[in-house]
Amino acid sequence: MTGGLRQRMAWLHTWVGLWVCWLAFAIFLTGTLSVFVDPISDWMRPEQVQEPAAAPFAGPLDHTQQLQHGLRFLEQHAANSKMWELWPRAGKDEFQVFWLNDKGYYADAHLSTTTGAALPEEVSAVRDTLGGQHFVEFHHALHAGTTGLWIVGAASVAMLVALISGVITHKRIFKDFFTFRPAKGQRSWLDAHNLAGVLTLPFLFMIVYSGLAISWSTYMPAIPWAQELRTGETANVREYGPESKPSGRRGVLTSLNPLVHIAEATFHSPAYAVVVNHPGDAAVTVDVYSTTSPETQAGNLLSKRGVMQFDGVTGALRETEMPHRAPPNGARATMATLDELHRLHFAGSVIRWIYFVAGMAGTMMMATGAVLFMVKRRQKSLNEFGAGTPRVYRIIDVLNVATVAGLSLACIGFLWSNRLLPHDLVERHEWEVAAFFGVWLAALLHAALRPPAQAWREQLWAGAVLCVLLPLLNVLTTGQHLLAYLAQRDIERAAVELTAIVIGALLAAAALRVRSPDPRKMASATAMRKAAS
Amino acid sequence: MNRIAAAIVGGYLFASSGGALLSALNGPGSDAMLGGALLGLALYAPAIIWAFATRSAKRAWAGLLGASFSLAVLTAVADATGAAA
Repeated sequence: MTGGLRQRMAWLHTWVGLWVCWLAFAIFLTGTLSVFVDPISDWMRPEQVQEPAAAPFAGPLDHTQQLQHGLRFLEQHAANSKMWELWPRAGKDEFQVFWLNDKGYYADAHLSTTTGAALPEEVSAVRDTLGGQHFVEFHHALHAGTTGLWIVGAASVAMLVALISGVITHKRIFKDFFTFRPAKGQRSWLDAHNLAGVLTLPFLFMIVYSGLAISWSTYMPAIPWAQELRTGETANVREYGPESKPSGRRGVLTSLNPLVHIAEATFHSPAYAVVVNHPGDAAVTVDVYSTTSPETQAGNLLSKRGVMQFDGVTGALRETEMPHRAPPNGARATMATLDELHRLHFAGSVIRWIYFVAGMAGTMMMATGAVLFMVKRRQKSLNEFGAGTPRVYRIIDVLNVATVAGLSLACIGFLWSNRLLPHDLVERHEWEVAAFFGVWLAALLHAALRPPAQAWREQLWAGAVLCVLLPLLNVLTTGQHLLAYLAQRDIERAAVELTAIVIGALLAAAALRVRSPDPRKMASATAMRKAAS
Repeated sequence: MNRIAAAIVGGYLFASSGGALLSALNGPGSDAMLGGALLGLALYAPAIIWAFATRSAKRAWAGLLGASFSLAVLTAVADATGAAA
């Protein structure tokens, strides 16, 4: 690595970009799909009936019966817990209570409103599936727990490095904004890569950085350690439970009903949860959280619930945080904003579609970058790996196909498995995830066994067919279909199928453009052009 | 190879110690940690870029380890003098 700054950055961009691009593509594609986690989950639970929208809030509700039953249950079953939670739901036959058990984890029970008795776990008629949450989990930690979280974190930092070095390498950001020369082989790939990157640059920085920030306590353990050294106490990063301390003296809990009444009147929304910290202690406090809804959200960025804290013995109000208001502390407000920008709890459908398009553009930037690397080298080998160069190039080719085409295939295969797997399979949701990884593995093997152009073409076609036929599969397996969804104004399920058809058409267009193999020239060069442009 | 190690290890130490210093200056509590974490995570990628932009791997190591050490010392000083309070 020699030469001036720009050459060094070009070197860094090429190699960091290459080694991270497959992982980054996978994280970005599934992250982009996660934007529509709820519609995808709805589509994957065809048995679930859409709940009618809640009636507008008319005033404080009567929760007397549920609160009484809930408290009696918790006193009997969780007397020594340091936290209780009651979720009163006026007008419902059942409601939930939670408590922290001896190990510090949440436990819960469903109680009957009329008798207060714990209800047995119902055997649900709705199929057991992770739904869109599968994409969220994979995007966040690759279904691999803390290890996966670290891998995603490392990939995120590598992505930032690739972005910064790409910007430094790149002299003509503004000009390239307006440059696209299609059907010119390597040149077009570079243009597509630049265009996708430049167009979405602010989005890419924001989304990668906020993604890191959300999991900061995993990635930056030095900060809580330094706090612990300083204060001699364990830093409270993600523990559940009250932040205050118990007094050790007995205390009698005041009636909860008036407190909930005050909170509902203040927030103009039904109570979402009533939390009792240190029940039975003289220092007991009661937090009442508000329910947020699209109406309360409108015009607000933060989706935070409002909370009122009361002294649990006297019932005196101690603190009020209104819903959607920024926390007073600057760092906390910044973190809350980054969290919203990344997880989109605040967002309606317009913002979600903007994210979807920007996310797809970012995904395409990685795909075009990966393909560009090989297009350049297929014209003239640069011999970076000495005698092993052809073999490494072959591996890169295989990984390109298996990631770009193969993961797309695995994602749509996941939706297919949702309809094809038997309804009462044990741990059915895990079989769906297994199907996702199974399809992906098959794509990898296929890519390794076939020449690149054939592998591209076959996998893109397979993905296209599965996407376009998704509505037909739905009709055959559940009897539900697109026109009925539209007639019932079930826009979300309809949009899942319509989007699948559009993506299928793009994959087919890409498959049509894969050129026949020519050993010395680019074979897969045009594979993804359509999608990339 | 050496430079890559300097970028990854040195950069991480630098980011962590930068974050720890800011959180020390902000005083105790979880809010102070958040500020430090936000800074630390923002420092890592630029530190890696610098490690590759500077003239030699030796300079990359020296710069990042030196800066991390200085930040750690400053953190200790901030603690000792109670700058947080």
